[in-house]
Amino acid sequence: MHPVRLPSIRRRVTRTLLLISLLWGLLVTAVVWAVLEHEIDELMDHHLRISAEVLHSVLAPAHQQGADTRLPKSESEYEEHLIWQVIDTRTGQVQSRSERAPPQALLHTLEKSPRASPDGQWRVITLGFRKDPSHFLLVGQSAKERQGARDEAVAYTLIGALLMGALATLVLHLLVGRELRPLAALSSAVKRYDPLRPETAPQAPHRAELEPMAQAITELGQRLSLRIMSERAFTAHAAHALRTPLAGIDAQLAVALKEAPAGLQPRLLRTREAAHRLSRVMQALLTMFRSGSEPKRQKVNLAHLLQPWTCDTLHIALGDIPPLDVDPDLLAAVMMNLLDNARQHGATQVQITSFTTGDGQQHLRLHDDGTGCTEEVLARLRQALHNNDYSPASGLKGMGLMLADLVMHAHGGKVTLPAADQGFCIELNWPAHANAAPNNTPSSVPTHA
Amino acid sequence: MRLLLLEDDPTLGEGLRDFLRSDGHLVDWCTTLAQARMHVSEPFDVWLLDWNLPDGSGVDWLRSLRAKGLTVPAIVLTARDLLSERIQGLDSGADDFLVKPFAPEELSARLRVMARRLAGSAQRKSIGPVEVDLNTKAVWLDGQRVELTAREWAILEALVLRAGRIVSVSDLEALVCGFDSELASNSLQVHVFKLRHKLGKRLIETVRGMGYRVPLH
Repeated sequence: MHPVRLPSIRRRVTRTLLLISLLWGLLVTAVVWAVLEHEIDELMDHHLRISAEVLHSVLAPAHQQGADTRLPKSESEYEEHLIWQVIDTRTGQVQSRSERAPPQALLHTLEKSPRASPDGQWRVITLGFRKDPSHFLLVGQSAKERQGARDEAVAYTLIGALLMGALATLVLHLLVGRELRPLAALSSAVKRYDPLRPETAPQAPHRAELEPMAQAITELGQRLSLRIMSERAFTAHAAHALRTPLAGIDAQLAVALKEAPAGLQPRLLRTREAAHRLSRVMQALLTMFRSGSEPKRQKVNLAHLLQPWTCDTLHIALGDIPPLDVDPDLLAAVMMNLLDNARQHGATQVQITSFTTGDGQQHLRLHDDGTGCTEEVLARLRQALHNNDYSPASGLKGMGLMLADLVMHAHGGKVTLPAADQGFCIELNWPAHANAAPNNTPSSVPTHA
Repeated sequence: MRLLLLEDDPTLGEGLRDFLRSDGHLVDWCTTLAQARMHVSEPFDVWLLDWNLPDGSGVDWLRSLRAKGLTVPAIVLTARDLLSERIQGLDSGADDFLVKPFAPEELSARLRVMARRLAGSAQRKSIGPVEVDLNTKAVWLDGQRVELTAREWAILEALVLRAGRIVSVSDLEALVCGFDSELASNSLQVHVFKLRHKLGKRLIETVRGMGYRVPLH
């Protein structure tokens, strides 16, 4: 299963900023376009009027003198953005015009304000001749040129806004990265924080927003530290309360063994073995419930470890088991409990096998010939182990499975319950070496039998 | 060896006392620091101290004894098993550290190590024609095994562990009797006489007005 990729604050902020920049650019362009269209129109009308007045001042004297104001026909092709016509109001004919001006009159009457020609191709302005009211001057500008001017203004505005937006996005991306750096530093500080060593508490962060977080983490650490201290104090008391009587029992039994008649010796020996088993369980429990303690791994010969186990009604069949890298006290406590469980469930034999899989997992399998349990109970037990749920409702009744699970977790492993045709089967899985990464999906292909 | 056992738990204290006695040691058992303080000046070979006692800490007491210059070997018996606690116990002046629950046989083995150290590392000591095995508590004269009573062995062991040094009569009496019983008048001289009779006159020297000594060879 692939790990879920969480959303990144940096990516989200950058994406949002990019979107805002784009929208801002488009909005600015629209506003600029709206404003410019009006302004450019006014500006161009103004420019048209001035041009018309200049032309009027040039053409009026010639017109009054009746001179031919027609220009000689140009041979070269050129773009004429401004045209003029002198129109006879009586006939509606063009008397004279510029080179590119249309031969038909663009307007037949004198108008006070600039306007579009009836065909929409021109923006025109008219000026009358004071001494000849039958004629007037029409100056026009092509609508195409005016549109080109507007388009250019809008395009430059849009390009400028988008460039500005892109630049702002890039700068903001870098800024966001820099602003998030204190968060990364806080994460590293939290990783190094050991609540039992107050000097490792995260230092005051460089951003006000992170201050409550750092403070909350430090306070959490302090609470945890208090909890651990009280837990340790409790463990010390519990250790004293349990260890001393056990040592006393063993000492008394050792004396009794020396003094007792031969007939009593086997009974006393068995009692002493039971006391030793109890000691190991107690040792394992104290270790498991002491926060921060690590299993003391070493190479363990399982056959030697199980030697003290004496039970007339349960035969242990050990396969060829290589030395196991495990805490011997914890494994002994687990084995004693699991074997006790098997005996209580009517088993007469337990087959113990071991193998290491290619992923570096050590597997130790115990398969007994007892009554086992129903599929329904097995499913509940598997669920309880999966959820680390040791509550009475989970179905875990004895201490055996719970202790095995706790011990395996301490070793970076877990307990599984493979299906068995007969009896009950339990498998302890843990990384074969302390530095191996825990793997919760062991392969089922044995590489060593 | 004469041992001072300071243990407040009656089951453990009684069990250890009886086990070590059956091993041939002389065990004086105290259940409180106050009792132990009264007897600490007596000549013990090893102190066996519990850490937590009803009236104080055995380890703190040991530290104060070391500060006063007392060098009797000490083994701390405790329910505390953290590495830091073991270090603390050893740093307070303990020579050894045993975490409860322990098998009394292990304590016995550690006491034999202590005895070897006291005797100068050798398990077997040769003093002229006499050979003494501190582990098995066996004695030979010219290669012939000699049987000793428990009291005779206690006197011989106390002197051999202090070979070359003079042991006063009162210290020797304390070493072989403890504070539960007393030797009858002249009883010590009688036992020394018997030892000389069994192992030769030169084994135990009398230093007039001071005590007895086993010479170094």
